[in-house]
Amino acid sequence: MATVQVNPPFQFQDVQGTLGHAYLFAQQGILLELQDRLNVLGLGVVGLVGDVMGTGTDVLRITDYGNVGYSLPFTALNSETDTVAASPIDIGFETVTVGTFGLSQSETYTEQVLNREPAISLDALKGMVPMSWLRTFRDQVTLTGSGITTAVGSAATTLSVDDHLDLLTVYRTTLGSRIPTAMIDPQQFDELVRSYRNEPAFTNNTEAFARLFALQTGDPADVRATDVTQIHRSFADMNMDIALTDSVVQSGGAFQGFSFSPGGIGWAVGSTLPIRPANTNGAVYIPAFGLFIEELTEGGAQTTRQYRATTFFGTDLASERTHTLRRWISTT
Amino acid sequence: MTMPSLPKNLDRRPAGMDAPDYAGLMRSADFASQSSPLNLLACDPNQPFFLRHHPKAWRISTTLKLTLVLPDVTKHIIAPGVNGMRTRRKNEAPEMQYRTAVMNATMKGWTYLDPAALIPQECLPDGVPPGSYIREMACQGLINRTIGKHYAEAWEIPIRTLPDDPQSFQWDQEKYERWLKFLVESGQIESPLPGIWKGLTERVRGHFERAQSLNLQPNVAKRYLKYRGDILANYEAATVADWKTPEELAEIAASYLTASDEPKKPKAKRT
Repeated sequence: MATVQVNPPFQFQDVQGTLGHAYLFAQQGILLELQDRLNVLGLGVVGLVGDVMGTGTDVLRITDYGNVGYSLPFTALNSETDTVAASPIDIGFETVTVGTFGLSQSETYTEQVLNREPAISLDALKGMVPMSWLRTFRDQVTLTGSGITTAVGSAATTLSVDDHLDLLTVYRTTLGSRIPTAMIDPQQFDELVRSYRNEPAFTNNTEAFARLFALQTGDPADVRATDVTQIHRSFADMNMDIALTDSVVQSGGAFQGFSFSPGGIGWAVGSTLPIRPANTNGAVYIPAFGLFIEELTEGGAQTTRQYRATTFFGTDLASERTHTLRRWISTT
Repeated sequence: MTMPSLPKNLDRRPAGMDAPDYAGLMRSADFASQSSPLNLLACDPNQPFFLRHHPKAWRISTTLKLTLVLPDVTKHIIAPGVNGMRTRRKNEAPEMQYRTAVMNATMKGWTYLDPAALIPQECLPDGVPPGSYIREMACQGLINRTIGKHYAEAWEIPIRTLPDDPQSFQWDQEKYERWLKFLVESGQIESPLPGIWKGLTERVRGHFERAQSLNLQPNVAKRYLKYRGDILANYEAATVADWKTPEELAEIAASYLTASDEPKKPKAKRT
């Protein structure tokens, strides 16, 4: 190493190159990027409809029936001797097909030896797999919602209060409906909020205005909570929850947001309990999510550690005979 | 229905990044093709899709000279585990992934549009090469850096994007609406039942009437009423692309054929 001559007065910039550091890592650790963190399971409205483990099929059927109970009126008998014809019933079914999904990451032994602390280790990444599962689940649910038959809103206009009211009208007039939840793109939600801004009812009422437009945290009761919520409970006091996610599908120049009654989107799981891996060390079973994580040696590289997560689940729409479903669309 | 395939005589070379826009990168989806390491767009790989239409779903044209009732066409994404799509076994034919799902949806009234059918050139955005409604572009994922294929509709054109920003796309509404019109005119999608369109118009009328009753600032009210009134007027004036006779259909089809697409004449038999 060459010797560096430092002339008086000794300046930091002269010394740093030989005796100092270019930078120092802060002690607080490593921060996680800003990201869509909507936990669809946390909404409590996407129902688990069954487990296909050990059944011999990857398809689950959910049966429904109609023309019974509250649907079925008695026939008025006009004479004492009229006969009563036996009534039919309707039966139908929907299916959920379970698919397979995978995720893997790896690191070399060299990385493990030379890595500094705080570090991003494979163990830390492995611990985040359930979050990756939730993201995948969210994507699948939004893909499923984009397949709903009928829509409220317009592919040519931004989302407005009128569209919100139209959506509520659907649930108000479809008797038997349960309180819905909507999943829309953040841009759609922002357009909706801006549309409410022009409503005299809100512009002339400071309290209502603030309640509508203020940033809200996930748990309003927790004064320390600082995360801006992605779930707006009873937005604008309309008694319909709205969840925001980037996963909403775009098609035909429009956001394919959607709303559904609880259970209107269902999921089926393939429990991973029967899986017998070659190497049980480091294996993690989360059968409730159909998730299995195992450790592998990557190909011929004996100096590499790899985890591979596999999950088995599927999502599908419930029958529109039993649930009220709508796409809630607006222009991109 | 078969998976999309590309005519053999089509030039599949991407136009390159020096093109005025990126539309030339959009080639018709060939699900068996490999991604090119060149011209990678900064967006996540995604799943291919069918476009389909349900008789309950309609929209109104906003860019055509004549205001038309147009089909609201949406994607059925071929993702395993979603809406009936399967995970295939090794070496199984690709169509086995979606065959049952498509059949079930068809029984519920959905009409599937053939992903192999060529889009009339006048219905495609400028610079987009001939092909079907589904296009694929080589891409590299933003998060996990996976190199793969990004599937988009033919009217979803990638445009120049700042470094480190996710790839932006621009939607060509006019050409898209021309295609929707073509779908009805050519009989691929049936015209809406009058009751359905009447219901949608009543919904828009409700928007206008609510706008009238709002106690808005005068300058806002004037603008907002015009906005809502224009939409209502469009809905009330909208007409449906009429059914055509078989002769008219043949004429329309012929007008959309380019020279290279013309059906080959039968060869003369040797005697």
